[in-house]
Amino acid sequence: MYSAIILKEWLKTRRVFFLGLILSLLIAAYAILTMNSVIKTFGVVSIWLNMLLKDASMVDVVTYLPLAIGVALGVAQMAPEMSHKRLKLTLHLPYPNMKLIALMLSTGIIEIFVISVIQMAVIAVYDLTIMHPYLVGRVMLTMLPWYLAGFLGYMFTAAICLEGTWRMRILLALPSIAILMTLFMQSGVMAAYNRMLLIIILLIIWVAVLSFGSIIRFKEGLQD
Amino acid sequence: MSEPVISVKNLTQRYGKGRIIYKDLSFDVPKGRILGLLGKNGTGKTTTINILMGYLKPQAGECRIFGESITEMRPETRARIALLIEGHVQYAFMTIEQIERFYSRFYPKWNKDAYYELMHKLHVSPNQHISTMSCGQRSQVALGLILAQNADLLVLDDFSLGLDPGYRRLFVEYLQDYAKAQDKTVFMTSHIIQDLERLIDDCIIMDYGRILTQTSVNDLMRDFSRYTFTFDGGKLPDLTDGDTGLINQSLIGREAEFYTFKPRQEVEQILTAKGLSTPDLERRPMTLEDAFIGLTGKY
Amino acid sequence: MKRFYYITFTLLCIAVLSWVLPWLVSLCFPQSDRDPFVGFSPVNDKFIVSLATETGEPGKVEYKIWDVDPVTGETTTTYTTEERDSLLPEIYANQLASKGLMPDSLNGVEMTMHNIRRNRWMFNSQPRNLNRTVPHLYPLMESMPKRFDLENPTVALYLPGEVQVIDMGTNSIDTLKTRRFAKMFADRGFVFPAKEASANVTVRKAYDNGYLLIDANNDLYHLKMQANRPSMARIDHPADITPAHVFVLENADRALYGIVTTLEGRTFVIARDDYYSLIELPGVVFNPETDRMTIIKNLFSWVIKVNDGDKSTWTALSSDDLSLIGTYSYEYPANTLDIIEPWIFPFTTSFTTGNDYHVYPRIADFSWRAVFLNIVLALILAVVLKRRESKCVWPKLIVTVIFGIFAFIPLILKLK
Repeated sequence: MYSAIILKEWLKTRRVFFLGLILSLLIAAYAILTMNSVIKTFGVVSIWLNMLLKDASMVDVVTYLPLAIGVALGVAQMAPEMSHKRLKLTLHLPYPNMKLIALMLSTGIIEIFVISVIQMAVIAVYDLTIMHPYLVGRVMLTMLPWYLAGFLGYMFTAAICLEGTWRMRILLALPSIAILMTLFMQSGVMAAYNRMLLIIILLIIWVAVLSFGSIIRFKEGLQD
Repeated sequence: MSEPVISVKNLTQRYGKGRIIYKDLSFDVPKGRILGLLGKNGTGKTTTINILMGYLKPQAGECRIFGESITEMRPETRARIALLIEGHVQYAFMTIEQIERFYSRFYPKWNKDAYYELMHKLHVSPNQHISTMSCGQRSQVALGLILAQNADLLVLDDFSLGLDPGYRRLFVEYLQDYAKAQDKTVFMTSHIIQDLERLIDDCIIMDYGRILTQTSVNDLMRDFSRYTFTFDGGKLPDLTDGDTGLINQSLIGREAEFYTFKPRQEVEQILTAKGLSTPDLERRPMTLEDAFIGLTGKY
Repeated sequence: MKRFYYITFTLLCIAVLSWVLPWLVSLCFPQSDRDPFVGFSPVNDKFIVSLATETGEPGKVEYKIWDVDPVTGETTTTYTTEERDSLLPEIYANQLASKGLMPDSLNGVEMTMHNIRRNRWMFNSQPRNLNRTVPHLYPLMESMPKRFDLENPTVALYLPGEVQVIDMGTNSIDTLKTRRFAKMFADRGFVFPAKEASANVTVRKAYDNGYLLIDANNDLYHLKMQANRPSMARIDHPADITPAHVFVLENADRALYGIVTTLEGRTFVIARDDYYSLIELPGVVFNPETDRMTIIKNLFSWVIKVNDGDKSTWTALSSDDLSLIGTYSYEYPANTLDIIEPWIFPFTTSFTTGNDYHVYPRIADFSWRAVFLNIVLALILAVVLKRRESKCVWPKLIVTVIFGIFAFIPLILKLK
């Protein structure tokens, strides 16, 4: 049964998944080409010095992409459930409701994870050819909160979409936007979020509660 | 007698904390019967269906299906219930083939042939997305899935919505054959009562805040009658006054009309007591729709 | 699960509101903590304080200028801007020279532009530059470049527990240099891991002083690369101090290697003469992790400004022997926001501060005074919840008493 559920989620999200993946690869390629042209003009040392002295990660172009992918994936996955109250069909499936929602969220999380890891890997592999592993680690630490924003954005979007009333959707959206904003402060500083990474990861797990709660509210009849 | 498939006890529901939709609504649906829930708009048909499907928590009362409370229903029990959501909604992002394969994983008694038999009549390709189909075609997909699920109870919310007469007829015929042959229990609503007449065994007719009647269609058509007589004397006296059991009287031109559950003999006595001479009193034939209007009134 | 949902929603709102509301309130009360400019006059041996004040007209400011006796703290005279320029001839040298008002000599010292410039330097330190995830990879400049002009570094030091000299161009270890540097570190007794390494890696300076390092034993070292070879010195320091931070100086007068601050709160300069002698800057209380510092060194005096966020303190030292002349403090007047905020908010949350480059939630500004408002809000909530016949009233009221307005807003919302 769970393979059928995963297939259903995949059918809804595959377009956004591939679009996100292609976009991620294009953006990664753009970042790499930019670095290449800097190297051709100023030499590879200038990349090192920019990173060490000016905190330029050289991958700023990636910043908002994971968030956009996370939100788009959440909408692609959950909006069809809510249009025409299709969620009624899903919740009627002879499968435990909470397990079913967990499975749906896991599918989305895994898709975002795959896109993120592929993009990170492409950038890391290139970076390793031109700079010290320590610096590559720093670039990855700089990018990590952006990817986590993708996961968190997805979780918030899922909860907001699964919520049955517009009033509560807006009430959920406001703190969600504010919390996502905190992940994009101090741009232009590398590895500024090291002390917050664990908090973000715990938050991603915690806000899954909102999706489950939205479902319970839906089943109680709190729908527009 | 075996346990009813659906058992509703003392259901009370309001709009928020305001107007009562109904109070202490109780009814049973026995196994093997097709029951239609009839009522005008706003009498709580959809509310009742939503409660039965488990998508609305009643403010008071209990609702059990196959002996289980719907709020804590086991998945295995859910597998015995087939749902048709208003508007024949299905997973529109799937194709004819995908959706069949999807549902087949969930239902142990899945009957693939029942689904494809219906699909072949539609002349659609297995790879066609449901989102690209007409409303009528979609209704057949939804019906095919319900038939294939081979459930013991079918809950159908307004199956006729958006369908042209051909598809409505097709739907009714298929459903009737299926339900009768397989001894299925069906709970359904429709805003087109004509469709139900050929289909349902029992009906519940709802008015604002209460049940008007719950009976078998045969009994209703036997016991509930429309009478007409010619009236020339200006203003028709109030026949409903004084617990007479006559309802919904009207006078169109010279023809007076009323409805009642009372036998003809009693009706004649009541009319005489009201000082009316009605030599041409006549019981008129009725359709279920006429009976519905007779019970609920035109307004 | 449903209760967990509402608790989660409320907590998210509390977290967000404790960050957003104080920020919105601060927008309503724009702060203008403008520091006065303070110089030390070699003419009358007093602090000269210039404070810019808003005139009301946009973009136009007026100056209030007065003197402060470095010993008694008394003010005797106020000045015009022209009078101030003459009192601070080293600072306003250009203005004086253009008007032909520069004296030929002062206190027996020749007042030429050349002499003034050669003996003048500035130093700045901000907590943000220390409070960040510093990369532990140190680009190393060549201190004796072949063509005299400084060039960008080509190698970087990586000190994870040993010395590695990385050739940045090829992204590989330079084995020859690594061997040479490792030997030098071992010879000088450097103990890994390095606690701090400071340098000014830029070609826009007159010469290169390399790195000042603090090792695991809290010992000070000076490292340079000269002609591709390491040059390293261990800098002795008094036993009663523990070096905490180092700053390299590359001033035109070449008199100093850098500045050292200690865990004990003392500040020293490392002088070039007499082989790395540490000279204390008397009267200076400076913690580079929390305070901003500006040093303006001139012909006759050093004026060291330390700002700890609440007040600024200027210390004047004699340029001759770094002896203390006097200090002057300026405290910001309390603004409306500082007065109002503790009455409204039981605490505030922020993710960034001006003192570091980290982002993480910091809960601060705890205030018991907000409890009055909290109780009022809880009472209002009690009335509203009673009218709505809500469940779980007491926990909501307790949460409101603790979290005040941050909890009141989400709890008063009707979520059903």
